[in-house]
Amino acid sequence: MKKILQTALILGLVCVVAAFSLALVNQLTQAEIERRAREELELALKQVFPQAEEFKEVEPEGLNLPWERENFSLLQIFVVQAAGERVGFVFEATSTGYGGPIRLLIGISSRENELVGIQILDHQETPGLGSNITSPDFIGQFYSKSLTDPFTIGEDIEAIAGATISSQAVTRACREVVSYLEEVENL
Amino acid sequence: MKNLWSYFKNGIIGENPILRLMIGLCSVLAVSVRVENCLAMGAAVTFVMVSSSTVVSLIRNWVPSQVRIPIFIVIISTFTTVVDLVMQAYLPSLSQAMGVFIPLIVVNCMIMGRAEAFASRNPVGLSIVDALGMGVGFTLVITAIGLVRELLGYGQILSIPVFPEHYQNMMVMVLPPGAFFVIGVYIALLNRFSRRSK
Repeated sequence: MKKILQTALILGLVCVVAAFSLALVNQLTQAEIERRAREELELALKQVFPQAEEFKEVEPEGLNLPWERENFSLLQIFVVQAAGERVGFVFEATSTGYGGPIRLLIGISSRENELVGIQILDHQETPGLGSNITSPDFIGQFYSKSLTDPFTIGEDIEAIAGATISSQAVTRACREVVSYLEEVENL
Repeated sequence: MKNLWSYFKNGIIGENPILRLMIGLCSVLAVSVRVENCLAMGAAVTFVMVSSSTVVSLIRNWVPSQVRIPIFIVIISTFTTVVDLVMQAYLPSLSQAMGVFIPLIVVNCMIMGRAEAFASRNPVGLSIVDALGMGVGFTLVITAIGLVRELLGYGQILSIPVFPEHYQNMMVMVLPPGAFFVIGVYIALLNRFSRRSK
């Protein structure tokens, strides 16, 4: 009995020391990690919507976020302001690719009713095949597309050879974002 | 002094974790695509290895043998989490490139193996030297693998193009099987070399 208690005590002690040192390191690094994440998002938003001056996160009524569809979910919406006016939206979404979720930003101009920018934030697609979804050759196809376009592989979008599923995931994300915009009333 | 050197050298040649013991290969396969990642992974593994070996060796006399494995794991995962957090804060691009493989250092059997087989039975000085040798041995080999894979797979070294522009990238080298081929060749070379020297 005494032995069991002693053993448990030592194990507990080691855990307590470990927990305290981790709490300390976490405290030292947390602010920096959060700052980097914010900066990264800010930079990506700017790339998707270059003429924007300000991005404001919004919570739409009716169609709550995250908005789930098959192999797709819409995570966040930012309203884009320029010269005091609302000029469009940026959507953050994930779409299921070949190696897991692909996280991306899609910028839509509400004036011209077109897609102005798209940026892949995270993905685990096969290097050399699916990873080409970030290449300008593929992603460039989406720029300046009208929202009335079908956004379908084989019609208006050409898939990457050998990476149909990854290409489909990006295309699906655009299609779903457009359909969300059609469904939602006051954004 | 000569004794310490032989313990250090043991990790690099005699019991090299990748080429001789063949442990901890999972992260090697995943990470060794670019030399930059290899160096960072090597540094991270060496840090975790040396720190956890030091602590394990320091407390070896009062760790009850029934709970030694959980205690080792707590120590190793603490140091791994420290590395992970520090990298996320100060080296975000590297941290993103290596993704889940930094947290996975916890279950790298190389570190656990050295804690159990060496650090828990030897004084602190020797344990540090052994861990350093293992860490350096790991770093050298993973970097040598990364060199070949980056060169053939991307035509670059440290992201600087070295081949003419029309070089056709060897895709298999970028995928995990590429690492197996390279490791195999290195093991063959090491065996040949060490047999001849005997």
